[in-house]
Amino acid sequence: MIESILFVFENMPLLLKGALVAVELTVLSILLGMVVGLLVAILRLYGPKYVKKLMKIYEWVLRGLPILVILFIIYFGFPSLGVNIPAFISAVLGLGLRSSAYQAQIYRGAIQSIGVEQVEAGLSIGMNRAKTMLYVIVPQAIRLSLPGFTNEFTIVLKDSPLAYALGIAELLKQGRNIIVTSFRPFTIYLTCAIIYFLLFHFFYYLFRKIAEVYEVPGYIMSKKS
Amino acid sequence: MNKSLLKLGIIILSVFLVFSLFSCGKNEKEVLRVGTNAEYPPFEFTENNEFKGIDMDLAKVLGEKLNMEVKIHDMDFDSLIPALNAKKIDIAMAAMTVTEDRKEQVDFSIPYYSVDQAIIAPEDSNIEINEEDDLTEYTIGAQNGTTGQIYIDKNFIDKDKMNKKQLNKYPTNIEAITDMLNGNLDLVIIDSSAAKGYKKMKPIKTIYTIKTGENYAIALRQDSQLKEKINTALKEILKSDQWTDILNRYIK
Amino acid sequence: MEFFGVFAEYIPVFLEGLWLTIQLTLISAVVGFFIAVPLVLSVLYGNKFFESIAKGFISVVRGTPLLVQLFFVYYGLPAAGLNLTPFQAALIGFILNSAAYQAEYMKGGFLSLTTEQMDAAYSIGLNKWESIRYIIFPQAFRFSIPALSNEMIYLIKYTSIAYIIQVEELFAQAKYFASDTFYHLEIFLLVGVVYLILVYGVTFTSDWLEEKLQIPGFDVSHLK
Repeated sequence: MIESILFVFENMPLLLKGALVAVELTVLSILLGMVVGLLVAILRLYGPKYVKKLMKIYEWVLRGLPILVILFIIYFGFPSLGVNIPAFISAVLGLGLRSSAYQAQIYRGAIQSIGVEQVEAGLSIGMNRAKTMLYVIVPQAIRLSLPGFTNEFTIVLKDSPLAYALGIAELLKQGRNIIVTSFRPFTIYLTCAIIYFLLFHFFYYLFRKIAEVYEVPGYIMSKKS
Repeated sequence: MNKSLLKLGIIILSVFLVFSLFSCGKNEKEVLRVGTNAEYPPFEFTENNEFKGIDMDLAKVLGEKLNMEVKIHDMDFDSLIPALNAKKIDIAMAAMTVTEDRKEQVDFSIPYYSVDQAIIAPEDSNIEINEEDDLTEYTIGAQNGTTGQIYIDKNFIDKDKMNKKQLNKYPTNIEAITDMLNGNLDLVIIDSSAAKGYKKMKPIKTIYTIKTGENYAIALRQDSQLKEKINTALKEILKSDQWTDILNRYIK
Repeated sequence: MEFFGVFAEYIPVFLEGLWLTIQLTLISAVVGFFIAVPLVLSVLYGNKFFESIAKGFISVVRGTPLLVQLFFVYYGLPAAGLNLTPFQAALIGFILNSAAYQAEYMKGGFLSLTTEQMDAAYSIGLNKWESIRYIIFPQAFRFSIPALSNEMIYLIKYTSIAYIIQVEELFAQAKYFASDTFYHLEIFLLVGVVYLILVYGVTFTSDWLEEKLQIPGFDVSHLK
């Protein structure tokens, strides 16, 4: 037992390096998902009819596909179209675009819950539609979306080890590298699980705190998710 | 919690992340992207995040000879040929045996190492293999996509001498050997050189050798411009003391 | 196209893979459901001991990635004396996962019923377990239809991860095919379509079932 703990501590720097890659992957994917997701949500609500339809299909397809299929199409499939993307960026694209489909849903729900009155109010004080969106609706929508966003963040975090399939040196891959010379899968995988568990709860509570701070007064947000 | 502090934290975090993405740069020399599967001692493995092993040291020397900067891309063994053809890597050095099937998909350099297939068992096992067909009575493990796995598939399973369930395929030899030592498998088939490497770490023994006389070579894309240069450099290296040193470092 | 000619030869193995995917999904969803029921009852109505065990289990499963769980079960547990085939290991991983997620999901359904209806049940002389058995559960069961279908959709997509521990399900077959033939884009697009059909097949069936079994006055659409 003590020997195992020492063994884990000895290898902790490598595992933490892998954990950092997992966090980078998650944060970058979430950011990409946020930008694309907001765009998709707005287009789906306010775009021309065929754009709305297109956005609906976009969400529909990305939400229905296993993440591995998306990752493999981007990493191994795209080169036959002449588009060759490195592993890490492929993983960010795959995780990020998939997340954008889910985030779009979250933002759309939030925008809809704000209601037409505020758009009308915005217009009546002389702002144009774009300005109303940018200054009135979006800031509130983002705040209202925080609980859903928190959930989405943890989902991406928990899917990040799948980047392992593209050969990225995230936590699980670092774990395997250690196992190659130590032959101690039980201890290493258990440690990986604990690190992910701690990461999960760290981000979960961090975002919950953020959600509390940024709560829109007068709008009830569900505390649990 | 303080709002502005939180905002600042978020900004710092995102700036840090963006920079960490772009911080890799500055290439003066041409880059040689070498694909490998660093889960295969003594040919390729990692120690403290550094790539080690016969192939990795050979890649380093090769890079010096070609005046190219070597960049190692670590991936699943199964992904190496697809990655080569998808131009993810320039060459693959992963103790890869030259086979007719692989030759249809990729090109190979001159061979640099020759091996047979070893049948290994736990040290305390009393299984005896006197001829190849004795293997049909046992459950065998192999790393998926390796010569050993293909050999069992072609010579036993395709010929109905063995049930499909008697061959377990693993992503790497580690799981195969671990599974064998845990009693889930009787035997594992691996390259004889790897058997030597693993013997240093685990209680295993080689109980039979299938003389296949295979050659390890560097895999390249069929349209690769590098083949001539690599072959010339490889010929020089194989004659040099550097090569003997590398071999002595990992196998004795 | 040339691709379809090559693919035609591989159809039987793809069907085998598809069957494994379906098996993994159905068994995990159903067995997971039956584990989820006692879990959620323990969380909501159990004593301290059962409550903390159930909560701990749910929190660990939901707080760690599925792939790590599968690696732990398949490669880690043999060291603790539990030898499993890839299929068994995957099944255990998916069942435990599915139980935890379904429990969490059902909790919402139970909570939306509990207080008032429990008070009503007590007032007509039922005890705690009778109230759960006769009043809460039959209604909550209806709520679990979307829970079960959500879980199945999750499982259909995530069973693809099992290829990493050598389960030769649909995605594994696509990967083998791609390694052999280099039709990466084509084959992953094709299995993508198959996954979409499976996922949306379940969605439509469950929407239809839900409408049929709806409890008058209770709208569960917010739970989706």
